[in-house]
Amino acid sequence: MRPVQIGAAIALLATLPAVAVAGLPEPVAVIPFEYPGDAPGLGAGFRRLLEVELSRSVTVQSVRSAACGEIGCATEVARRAGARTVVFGSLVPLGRKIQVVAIAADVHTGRTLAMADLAVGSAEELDVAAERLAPALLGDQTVEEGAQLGAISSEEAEADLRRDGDHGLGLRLAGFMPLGDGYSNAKAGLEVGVGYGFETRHVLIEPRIGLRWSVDPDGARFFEVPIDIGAYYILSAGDFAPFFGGGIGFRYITDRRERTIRTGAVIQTTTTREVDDSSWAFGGFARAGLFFMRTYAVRLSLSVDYGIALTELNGVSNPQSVALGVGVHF
Amino acid sequence: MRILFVSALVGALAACSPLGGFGEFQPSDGGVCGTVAAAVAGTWRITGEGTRSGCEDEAFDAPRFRLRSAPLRVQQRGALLSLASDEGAGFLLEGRIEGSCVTVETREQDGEDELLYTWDGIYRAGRIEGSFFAEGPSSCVSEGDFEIAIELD
Repeated sequence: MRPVQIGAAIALLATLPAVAVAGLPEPVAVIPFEYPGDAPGLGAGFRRLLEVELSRSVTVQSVRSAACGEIGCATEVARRAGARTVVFGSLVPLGRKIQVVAIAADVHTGRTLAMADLAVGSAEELDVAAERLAPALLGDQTVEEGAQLGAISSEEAEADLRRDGDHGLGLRLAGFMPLGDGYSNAKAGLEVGVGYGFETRHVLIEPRIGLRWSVDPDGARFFEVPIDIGAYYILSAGDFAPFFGGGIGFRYITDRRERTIRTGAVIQTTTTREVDDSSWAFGGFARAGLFFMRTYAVRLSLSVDYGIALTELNGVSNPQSVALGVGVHF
Repeated sequence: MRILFVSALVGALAACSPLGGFGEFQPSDGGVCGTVAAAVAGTWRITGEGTRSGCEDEAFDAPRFRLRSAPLRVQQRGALLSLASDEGAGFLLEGRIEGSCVTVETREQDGEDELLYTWDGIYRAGRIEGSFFAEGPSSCVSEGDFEIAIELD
């Protein structure tokens, strides 16, 4: 081929419009989206957002136009502007959310090249919609594939857990401190408990069974099995949620302690012996605490209890206690 | 006549209880105790240990208990021993010494119960050591060993 013929071929290729890298013929014109709501500039504003996102990949042809939600008027406007692809659509209010529908069409043939839609919770999330719809129209990825941290609309986000009714197992470990002379006059104990909670947004009801035992270095020994049902009011629906409440139930308590027996005053005898006592008792408790990570599948709690058992053991009436514990709730 | 009088006197003395109802003291074997009454008047401090059983309230049963008294001011008139001062609390002490053998009974009111101790011991070098038997509180019966440290007057 002669040099002059090669030069002509190159010149001809230079005049041809560029084909879209991602599949839409360029240039691409974006028409203001229709919006029947009270904010007349919303459709034009979304057009600008979509132009910015599309311009990252294709050549965008700017056009001056009123909103147009039909392919006929959209292609006509784009043809006059010299574009090969037109993107148009509508913002449809549906209750609290806005459904964004975007269509890419060939200007000359009127054929639909791509279509995508996404629901957002408010007008403030239209930037998220533009960010997700642009690659979908270009064929780079679907709308669902575009969901990523920072580009998720509130309509796509999973509903916070614990804001609807839920139920699950709860486990608790606590340090336990008897008050007064109760519980074998021990200084400390441990408690483990398991419960099953039925929870709504602000209320938790939890039957539970536990074990308590002494860890006193001086040898005092008690053992308790509380069987209670508790009810709590949850003050917040957020991740950190204070709560308070209480419960009642029955418990079986054993109390073993050393007792010093004395007789006489002038001639006094002294003996020390272990005495055992046990009984079933009606009892109750009050609890206040804080839930952590409440909107996740597993949440934690930190709480403090005051408890009392209505009985007398080894001459001590109504043993009382305070416990500080952590819980895991599924 | 004189023989009859002496016999009657000895019989009367033998029958007479010096504690006025506390109980009778049996004279010990003069060969073990000796014949000359030791001087034991002074401040007595009793210590000991024993066992207690048979209590109506089982809380008082004790396989082992310790015993300790408050200081007791004891006076001696011949062979008779008694408290030199009132210890209060309904406490009574009476005893008898024959040679070095000492027998004492104490009675103490402990609430609604009465504690009755009988102490039998031998005086030696400022101390009386022996065994005791007690009744009370409730239906308890106690026995054990004791030692009395005497701060002589």
